[in-house]
Amino acid sequence: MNNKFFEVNNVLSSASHIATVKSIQNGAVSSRDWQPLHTNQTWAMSEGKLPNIIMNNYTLNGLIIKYITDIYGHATRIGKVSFKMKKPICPEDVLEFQGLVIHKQKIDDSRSLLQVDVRVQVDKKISASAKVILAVNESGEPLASPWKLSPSEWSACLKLCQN
Amino acid sequence: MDKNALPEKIKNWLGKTVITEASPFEVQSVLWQNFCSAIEDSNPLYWNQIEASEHTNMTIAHPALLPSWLHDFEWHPERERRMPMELHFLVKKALDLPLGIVTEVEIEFHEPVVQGDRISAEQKLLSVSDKVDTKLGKGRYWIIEVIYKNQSNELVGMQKIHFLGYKK
Repeated sequence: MNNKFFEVNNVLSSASHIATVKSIQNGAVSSRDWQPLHTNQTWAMSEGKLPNIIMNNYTLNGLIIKYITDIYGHATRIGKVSFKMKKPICPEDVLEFQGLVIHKQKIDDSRSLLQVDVRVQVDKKISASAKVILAVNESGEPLASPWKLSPSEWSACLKLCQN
Repeated sequence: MDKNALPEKIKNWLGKTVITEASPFEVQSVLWQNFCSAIEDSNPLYWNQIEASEHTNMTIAHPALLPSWLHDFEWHPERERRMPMELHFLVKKALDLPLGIVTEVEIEFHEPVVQGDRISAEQKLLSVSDKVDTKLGKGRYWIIEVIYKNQSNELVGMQKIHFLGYKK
């Protein structure tokens, strides 16, 4: 992996996801979110006054985390995700994920914490935005996997990102 | 009379753990893999025991699912289903705001959730805003904090959820 991936101002490659009736329903059902606005089109449009069923926040969070781990690798450790939903995500929406590294903090010689800002756009309008804190292993050494940090070391890392 | 005054019940809840709940079942890999399939996430930490063992000893649950370990099946032969995020619904009722949406979520991940874990959660009301007039209707914003622990009382995650409760 090119080291520029780990630097501030690195623009992450974009990714897309097509929301369908089935994918929105699957995301809700597999997270056991039984609210009808995620699964029942008739209810969503009549009772919910929505344009259609809408993606639930577990699915959106899952897609944001997938976007990050697809780019930084499966061993990336997600520390925190903060996201805002600005517009409901409905069937046939094509979601475009874009990311920018805005902060970096070394944990030790091999590992760093990154803050990546993610935008989720539909038709060039922002549907959601997120701030993701992740830990990466820049050395490639298996022992430096961020998953090898002890619980107290990981807690200390998460406190670092609050400052 | 202060038009923004909160009901006594709400005032008593502020800053306190109001709901404590336990997962209705043990965490199972096939449940998180069903979610990974829905979002087409092939990360081997969720799927492949051998690759996961290099990092996490065993496969781990997708982090985005953490709050869902408190959600029961839609139907069960013996259990009555509890409302997920029950405190939110209690606040809505106490404020007479029948409609509610999530506007913002912050979730922090500590120890990974693995097969066989039993997750518990504590829900605390952090704040309730003054009355607001929004595009959706008149209402209030509130924030609920949820602390998630496993069966060994280890912290697995913390979440702050921002809600808007409103009426037309």
